[in-house]
Amino acid sequence: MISDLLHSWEETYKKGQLTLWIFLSLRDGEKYVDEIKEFIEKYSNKTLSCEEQSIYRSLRKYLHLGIVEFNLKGGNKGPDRKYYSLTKTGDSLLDEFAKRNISLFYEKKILSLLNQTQNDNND
Amino acid sequence: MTTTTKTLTQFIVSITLITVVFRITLSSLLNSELYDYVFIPPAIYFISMFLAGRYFGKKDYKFLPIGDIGFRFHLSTFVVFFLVSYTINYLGYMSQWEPRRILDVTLMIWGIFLLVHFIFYLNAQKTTIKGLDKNDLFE
Repeated sequence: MISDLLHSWEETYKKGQLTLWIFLSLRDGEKYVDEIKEFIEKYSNKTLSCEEQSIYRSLRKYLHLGIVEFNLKGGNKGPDRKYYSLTKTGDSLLDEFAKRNISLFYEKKILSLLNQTQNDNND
Repeated sequence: MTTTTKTLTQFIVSITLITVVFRITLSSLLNSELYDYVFIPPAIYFISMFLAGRYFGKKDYKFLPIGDIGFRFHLSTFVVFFLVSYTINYLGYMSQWEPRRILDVTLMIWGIFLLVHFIFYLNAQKTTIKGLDKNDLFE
């Protein structure tokens, strides 16, 4: 029961997470699409998996909006790869988003509530 | 704001070719007085333009979902059609049954429709950022 509910909740929760994870991966350093995908899967503990096409589609929009930019660099084989990075606008956007939506989870009250739940579960 | 994409450029090249072929075949049929077959070039032209718009429009939206309610494609079609038509007219390749006046009247009527489309396009821009729908920016 809990497992099904958790799965259902997570499916809803994950929607809208891709942008945040792409931005986090680019703040970590410039990356090409495969590396972005690897970063997301690694640091989300594989709770978030994404298709390369979804990442490409998002990056095209962010490029158009001036949120990301890319440099062409030679790959091991084949054509040059696009290495994406955040622009100043993208960096500011991530800062503001984190300030308004992520930092609040580090408020004392919220942290204690999250920990309380965890303790309850352990008991 | 209009955005030129690779797909839009491909569309423009395609419809330019289609329009040149349409103009030449229509004028040839009229010059040859084959009046029974005159309906064929416009019919094929209409279907070809519709299919080109549908194919490239879908491809373009898939690449980058620009919320211009088809205005870039409409404007391109308008410009290409009259550029090709007036050029062929100027070069004297049109039949006597296709006077310049018909082009002028078509330009005015179509221009009104284009203007109406432009007003809707401007209205649609209110819900976009750099031409992309605000509700479809982030995933």
